Amino acid sequence: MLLDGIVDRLGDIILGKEHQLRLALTCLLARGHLLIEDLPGVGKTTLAHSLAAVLGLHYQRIQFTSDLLPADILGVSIYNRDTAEFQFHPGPVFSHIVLADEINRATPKTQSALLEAMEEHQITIEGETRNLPQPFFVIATQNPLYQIGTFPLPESQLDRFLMCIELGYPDAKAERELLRGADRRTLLAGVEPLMSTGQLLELQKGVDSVHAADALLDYLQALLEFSRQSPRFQNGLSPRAGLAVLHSAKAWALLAGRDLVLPEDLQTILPAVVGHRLQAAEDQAANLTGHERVRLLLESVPLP
Amino acid sequence: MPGSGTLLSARTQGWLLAAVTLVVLPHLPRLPWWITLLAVGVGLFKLLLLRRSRRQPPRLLLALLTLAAAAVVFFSFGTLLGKQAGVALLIVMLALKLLELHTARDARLLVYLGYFVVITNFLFTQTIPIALYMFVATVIITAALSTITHSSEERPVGNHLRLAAVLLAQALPIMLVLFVFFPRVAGPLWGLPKDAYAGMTGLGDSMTPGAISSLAQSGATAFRVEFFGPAPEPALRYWRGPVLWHTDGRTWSPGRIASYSRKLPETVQNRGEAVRYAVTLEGHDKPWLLALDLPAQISRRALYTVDFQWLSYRPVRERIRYEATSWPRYHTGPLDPQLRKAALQLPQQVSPRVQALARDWRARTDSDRGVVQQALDHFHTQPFVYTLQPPLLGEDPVDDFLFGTRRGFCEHYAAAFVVLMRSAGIPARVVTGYQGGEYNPVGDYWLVRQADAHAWAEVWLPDDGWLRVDPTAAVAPERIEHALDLDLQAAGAPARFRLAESGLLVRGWRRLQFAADAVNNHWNQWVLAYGPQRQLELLAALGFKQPSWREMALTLLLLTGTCLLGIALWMLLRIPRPSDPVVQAWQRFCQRLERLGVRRAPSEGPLDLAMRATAAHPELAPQVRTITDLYIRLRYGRSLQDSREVQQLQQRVRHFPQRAG
Repeated sequence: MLLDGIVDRLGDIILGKEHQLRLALTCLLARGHLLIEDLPGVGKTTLAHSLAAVLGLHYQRIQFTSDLLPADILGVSIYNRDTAEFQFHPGPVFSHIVLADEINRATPKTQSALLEAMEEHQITIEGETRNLPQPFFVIATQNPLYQIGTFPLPESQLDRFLMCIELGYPDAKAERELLRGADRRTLLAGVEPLMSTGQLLELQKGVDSVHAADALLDYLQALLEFSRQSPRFQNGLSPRAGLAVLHSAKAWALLAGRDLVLPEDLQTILPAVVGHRLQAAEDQAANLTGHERVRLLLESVPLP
Repeated sequence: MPGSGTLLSARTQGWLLAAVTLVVLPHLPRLPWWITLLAVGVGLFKLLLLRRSRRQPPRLLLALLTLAAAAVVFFSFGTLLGKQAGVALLIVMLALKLLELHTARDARLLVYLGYFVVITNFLFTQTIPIALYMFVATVIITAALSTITHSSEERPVGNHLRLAAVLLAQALPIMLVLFVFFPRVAGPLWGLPKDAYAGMTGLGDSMTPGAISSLAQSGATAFRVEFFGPAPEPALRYWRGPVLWHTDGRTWSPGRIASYSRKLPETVQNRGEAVRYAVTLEGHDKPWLLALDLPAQISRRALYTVDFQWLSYRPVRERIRYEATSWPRYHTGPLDPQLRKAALQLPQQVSPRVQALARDWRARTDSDRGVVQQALDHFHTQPFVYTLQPPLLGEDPVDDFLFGTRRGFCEHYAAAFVVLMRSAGIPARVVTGYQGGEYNPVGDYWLVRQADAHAWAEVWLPDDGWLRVDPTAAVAPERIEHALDLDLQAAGAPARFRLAESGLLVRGWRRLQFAADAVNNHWNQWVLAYGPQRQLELLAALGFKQPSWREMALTLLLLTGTCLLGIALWMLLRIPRPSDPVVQAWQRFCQRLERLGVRRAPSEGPLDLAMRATAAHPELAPQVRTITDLYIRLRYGRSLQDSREVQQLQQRVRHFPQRAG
């Protein structure tokens, strides 16, 4: 299976993180965007880079800083003296995979320029609309610590990311292998793409045809309903969140080689998809992490 | 529903039409022709509306139609109340309501009216077939109600029917409790309309030539008898009814012998074995309680007349049951002078021929007994014919019959005989009642029909007291041995009797008839005749001595409450069972895994569970895998559920080990 090969190859580069790798791939297949919240140095850049390398996609990295301007991302028109007209120079956003590093360091204006591009899959500059390449996949990272002088993404903007995951430290075995092994960058340089862009687009289309039975939709609706009724959560999950869950679950099932969605698929992707969209009620323990809130939700809704 | 102008689905309306048709159908033959025509017309019109989904008729037209129909009912019956007129009005309104079905409220109203019409059917007849029919009708109405309630869902027909049947089944215990314990009162509690008792047949309190022969052509049941010992021989099976003393030459009536007591006079003596039996008497709107000649005791509050007849305090209007003791051989003792005078009364005019005949007999012998014998011989030797359709008699019926037509039914013989006896100076009177009866071997009881109606004579002889003499027996002795065969009577011809048939088919048919009547008898005894008397008996058997209204009401409440509580508990404690067989099988599988120590978490999916189960019990891995795969395919798969696969899943789960080891 093609996708299994891709997961294996990625696993060679990023050690001990198969689950997160699968989630990232799922997110890509579901045409969503990924937010990674973690400390520096756990391999976020390597993940983005290796995804691009294995899938044969064009990759650009933007380091967000407080003086970054929208034009630095989208591109600018510069007057060409020879042709006596303005010529558009596309910014780094015109690539298949864009790594927006430390997105919370930039000003809201710059952030929203990227977020709008993510949503629309196109940008409009000086009255002209330009399509972004297909596939288009943004991996944004956010440092949860050292919040001084940063602009954390508001909840409404967080909603634009299909998933939000953490990478975390590797376990002892993976760490030892990492220490023993060759430099990741050298490894990356030797990676041959396993898939064409066309194949990837086909797979993205294939996600839609994965079957979700009535029984599964019943379960999903029960989960959504509970999140809206229960006093434990500030706001219930929105219809968009419901669609995101379903689509992600389908992509996960496809990645697992199935053409039907199981409750397990839904339960597996739920923390990544819903964790950043679900706020605990104020009187409840507000310091619950996103994943803990999702576990609360999952345990409250029985599966027939 | 575009175009039909109603919020109700065509399906619901179809159900309602079916329900209304069912409940109205048994009423149609009883109604005036124009109501039948209207009801059928409206039904067909409604069917047309449903098929074409046309606009419903305008409200104004319906209002006018309704008023007109009510007016016509009023003019044809003279009232809007009463059994006939009330039912006619109800059915007209029900039919017209079919044309005014707009909202769910209209439909509900129609349903409740339908239930009411079901009840009104029982005002006319209460047989088992009609009860079964009405049960089916009730199921259909309830199903119609279900379609109204679940109008938003498209459910299969069987679904509604099943729901209705379940609802009625749940109502059954409460119905039984109410039937048994609801306080019964004698007589009509809710003031049944006056015409409710029309059409009851039975012996009248007077007799004219032709009265009994017309009754004798009815196959209707008069009463049924169970003997507590051996039945008396046919010649003794005379069922005593009204005794007629007075005659004007044509009509016989009881006269002014009005002397009642509470029990048998002590002068009457038993000269043989007492016979005990129970009678189930059909309502006949008259007070007489028929009993075997000569009635001694009866298990009801009743009056005993001086001419040996038990009378109920009120006319018998519903079927009643009573036990009685009779003395088939008896001696009535001396005759009161006043009664002797009444028993010798003669009409103003007795023809010379009749007087001469009586004088002739009197001259030939010196005893009253001899006169009686000569009279019987006369009937036997002269060419008298026993027939159900005797010719009409002239001015002096007795003379005309004795010397002219010589064709007659029992009343002719009894009347002529009594006139002759009185002319000869022997006290005599006419007794009407029933003679014989048919044994039902299936139910072990005797059935006496109206066709067994009979009239005979009694003479008072100094040695014997009142003595039964049946002149009919002298003419047609078969009458006493066999019942009349109603199917074989020709006008003016001698009466034909029902003799023992030999054909296998005929005997089989008879046997079937016996069985049907036996079932009917039980229905009558235990369901229809369950009145105040039987209720008191039953309650006494249950330990309530002389229960008061208060106690009965309390018992009723307690029992109904217990019933309802039981049903509620049952519903509460019942584990909700999923209707999907796939889920059912899966839950069973989970239960079995739990016994093996693998307990499914409430939100655990099938794959996770299978993985844990396999880890805990590697030896079961293949089975767990097959079941899980089947379940996933059936429940989360794309294709429709294949019944073969469902069976396969159920079978695999059944074969999955119940316990470890």
